[in-house]
Amino acid sequence: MGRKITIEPITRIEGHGKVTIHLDDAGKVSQSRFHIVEFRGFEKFIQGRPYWEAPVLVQRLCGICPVSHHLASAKAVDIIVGVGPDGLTATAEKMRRLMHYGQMFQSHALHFFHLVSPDLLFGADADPAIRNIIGVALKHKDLAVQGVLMRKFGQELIEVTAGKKIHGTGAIPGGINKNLSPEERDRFLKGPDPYNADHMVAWAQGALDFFKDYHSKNKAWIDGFADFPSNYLSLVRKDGALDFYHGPLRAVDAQGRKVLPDVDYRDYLDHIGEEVRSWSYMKFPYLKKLGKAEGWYRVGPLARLNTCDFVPTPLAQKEFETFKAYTKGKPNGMSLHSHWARLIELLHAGEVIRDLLKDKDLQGPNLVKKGTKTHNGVGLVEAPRGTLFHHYQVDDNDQITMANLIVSTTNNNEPMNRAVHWVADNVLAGQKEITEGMMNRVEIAIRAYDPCLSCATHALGTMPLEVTLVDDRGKDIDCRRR
Amino acid sequence: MPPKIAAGSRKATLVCGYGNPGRRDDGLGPALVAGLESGPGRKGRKDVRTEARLQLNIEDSLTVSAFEEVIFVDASKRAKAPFEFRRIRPRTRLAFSTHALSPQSVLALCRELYGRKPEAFLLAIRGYVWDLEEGLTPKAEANLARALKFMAGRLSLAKKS
Repeated sequence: MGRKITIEPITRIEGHGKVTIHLDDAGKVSQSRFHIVEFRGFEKFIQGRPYWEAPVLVQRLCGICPVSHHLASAKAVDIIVGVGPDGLTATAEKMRRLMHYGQMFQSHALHFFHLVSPDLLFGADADPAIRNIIGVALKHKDLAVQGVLMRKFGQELIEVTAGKKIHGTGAIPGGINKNLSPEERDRFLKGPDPYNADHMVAWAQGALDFFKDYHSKNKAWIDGFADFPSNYLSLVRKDGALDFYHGPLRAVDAQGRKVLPDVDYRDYLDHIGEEVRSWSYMKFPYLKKLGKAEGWYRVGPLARLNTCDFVPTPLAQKEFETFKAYTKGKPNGMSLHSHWARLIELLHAGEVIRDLLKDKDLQGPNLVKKGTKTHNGVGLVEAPRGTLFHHYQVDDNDQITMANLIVSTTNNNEPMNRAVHWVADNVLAGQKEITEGMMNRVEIAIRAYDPCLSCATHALGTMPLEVTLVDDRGKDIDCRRR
Repeated sequence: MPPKIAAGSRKATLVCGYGNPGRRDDGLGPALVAGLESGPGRKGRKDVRTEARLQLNIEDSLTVSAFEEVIFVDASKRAKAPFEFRRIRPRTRLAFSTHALSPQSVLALCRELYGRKPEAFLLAIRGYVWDLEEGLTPKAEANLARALKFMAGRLSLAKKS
């Protein structure tokens, strides 16, 4: 008898997701799908609003990385006010970078300590009661304390650069609305140990060393889990360096060949298409050059380290060289190596923050530039989870008439489905009983991409985890809830 | 670093409202905090701290560790209108979690990491609509007004005005 396995929603990711795995009479996987069950309609939400409101408005889309939306939107609006992507003052661009790298630091720290370390420390088969951040606190207090302070450090950097804790207003059309005072700078640069940039860099290195040590003892699991080839997409700096804020768009294939050779991201519509599939609200982006079937790609930490040529800070560059050497310079397709890549980026973000804080341009007086208005703007940043596009068109009354967003999680839609399918094929196929460990492996596959689905609302009373087994006639044969 | 609270005649209390003001009634928590901050009796009170968040997260375990009493404020889909107010305790078992933490998990993390166990309460204000739009519904506004009056009395803010 054929079976359908439903896991809804996925734990430890943002929002509601659902996995269905169809098994045929022989117990083999006939189909697997990672569903998005809420229609978000963000583009409609932005249409009709004045363009200058967009950088603040769009932060409502996401409870975990509002800064990414804030900055991608601000970059699109910069073009609309005629400043252009390279036209900001040095103070404005560096303040935005500090905000963005602060976000990258807190988000990557949160993901590793809160979401990933429980799986590594306790194993995929551990009781969910201990496989969480509280379990980490009980057994590895030092690690949990570091995670809390690293997250707090990044969050407070965002607060002083964005101006507010909720829905910051720091980035404005053509620039920024404040600089960094010496007092604010010194709080992060010269704060008492451990609350300073030097200590954060050291802790980021420590987290990376922890992962590498774990990897050395668990190579089969870390290397073999959901390993599959793909294309990879990210922005890079003009010279090919890793960059989270600005640069051309680059894509490489599984062999490392440039299939999108450093193009202007404002022309993204020429290069990226979005396929609609009837069973998911989330679109499936692809590289037009390769077509729908072959053009899907991954974004995020793993993709960024696969596309860039080097990392422009010394400690992270050294780690990048080790990372690249592991796959002999070829792109790395191992899903759990995204944690390794994420920690290299954490270290890099810490180094950038430390160096930026010493830059006197942050205290500069020139915050905003003005130009001649245009009617079309595209903004792009590398959010923690990957490439994020914002595209607006405005009319003569300054109202947004068209908005198109491709968020990081949408870019990773097909890869997450591939990862789930890998687990279905390798872990669930032929099994008669679905254990907690099996369920968790599905979640681990998705968590590697750190997706943020229909986040930003969380009112009390939501978010159960339910697993239902349904036979080929649509009858429930088992249901588990936690 | 933990916030420094001046010694006062009553215990140091944190009122932490959380939710997304861009998702209609999900913004009830931050709205209550805004109401307390702009209302009478707040000025000069160093024993009451107010904070607003989109979500609770791991660093909030450090924040709450500096207080003797914490009142979390959230919107609720199921609470009896206009609001429910109840004591909560640390919960080490996470039945389900996302990037955000529940108030009980924040308390558990606070206990494990900092050895502190503040008295904690949850003010769950009934909300109704969660769409992508700013502004509370009229029914949620009415519930918020009742909750604000309750909180002003509980914190003795009215007496200080």
